[in-house]
Amino acid sequence: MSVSDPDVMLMLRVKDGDDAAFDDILRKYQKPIINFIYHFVNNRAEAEELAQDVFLRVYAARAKYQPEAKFATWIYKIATNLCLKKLNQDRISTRLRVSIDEEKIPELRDTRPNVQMVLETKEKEEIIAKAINSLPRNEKAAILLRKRQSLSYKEIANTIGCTEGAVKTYIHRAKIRLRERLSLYLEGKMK
Amino acid sequence: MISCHEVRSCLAQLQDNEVEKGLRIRIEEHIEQCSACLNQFKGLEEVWDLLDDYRGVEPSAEFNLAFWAAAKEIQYSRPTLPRWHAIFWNDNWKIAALAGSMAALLIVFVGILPYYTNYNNDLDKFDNQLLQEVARLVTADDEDPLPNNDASQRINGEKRDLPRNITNPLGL
Repeated sequence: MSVSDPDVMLMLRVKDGDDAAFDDILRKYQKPIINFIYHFVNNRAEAEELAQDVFLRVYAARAKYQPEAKFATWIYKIATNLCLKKLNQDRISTRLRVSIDEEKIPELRDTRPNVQMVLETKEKEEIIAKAINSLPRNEKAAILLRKRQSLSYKEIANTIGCTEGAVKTYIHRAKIRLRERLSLYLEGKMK
Repeated sequence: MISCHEVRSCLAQLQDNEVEKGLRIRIEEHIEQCSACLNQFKGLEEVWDLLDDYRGVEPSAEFNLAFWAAAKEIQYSRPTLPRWHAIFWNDNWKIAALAGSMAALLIVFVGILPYYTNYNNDLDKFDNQLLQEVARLVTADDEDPLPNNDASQRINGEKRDLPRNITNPLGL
């Protein structure tokens, strides 16, 4: 992996003992990582806790860091592994957790003063969350990495630890399932 | 002509721009003519766009502070090596330990060498003595042949007494 990746450069500085460089990494990745995890666990507190674990693992590995892969792929791999582990522990895959954080409502209220619109948005998010959470975990990981992080199929394969062919299958199946599960909502919206 | 089944199995990849150019052209040509496949594709596009509405959360303001506090806590709670270990178990001491071991081996080798050499000399001395005695025996046989009627003694050599002047080199 070339060191032209700015994140790799930052990480190499962290390796040399520059904690300010890790602060830059933290600022850049905290939101995407928290959101990535949040879409897995649907709980803000858990998402932040797991995200902190991700960053702690990256920070702890600084001394032995070797720029062998794209930094983003590496950090998402850690995040994905933690999420999948969490799903296994909680057996979330067998339950549909659709609770959307209460904390999001004030944020939505700020931008959307219309109460009806807030409710509609919340309802829509719940429906989407329910559809995503009903996906098998590998399909869920693949679709979130593709949609939220715009990773290529190859990067997703490296992150999840499977072949590119498997990623194609996961994403194809996930999209078909989502279309089936969201079709009622889409039809209602069209009317 | 590509079939509807083949096209539909590639629609998700087409949407993600993960289809090779040749196949992409064939799929697009098919979609232009096949309304069923076109509807499938549009359906996937709608779902994909809908996922944009699944928004995330803003990290809490204290996330960074919480991280650094946790990082420091882990750093300080990590079991530290005993002081003597920290002093002695570094690269310089590893090299010194290796050099010391090599020196000890050399001393042992040099100490053993004279004993080994003396032992070899003793063996050589014994070999020479043995050869001399054998030569004497052969000479004695030539000078004092056994009588013809003592053929049994000639055949069963062990029954013969050694000449008195021959000492047993093995000391047995």
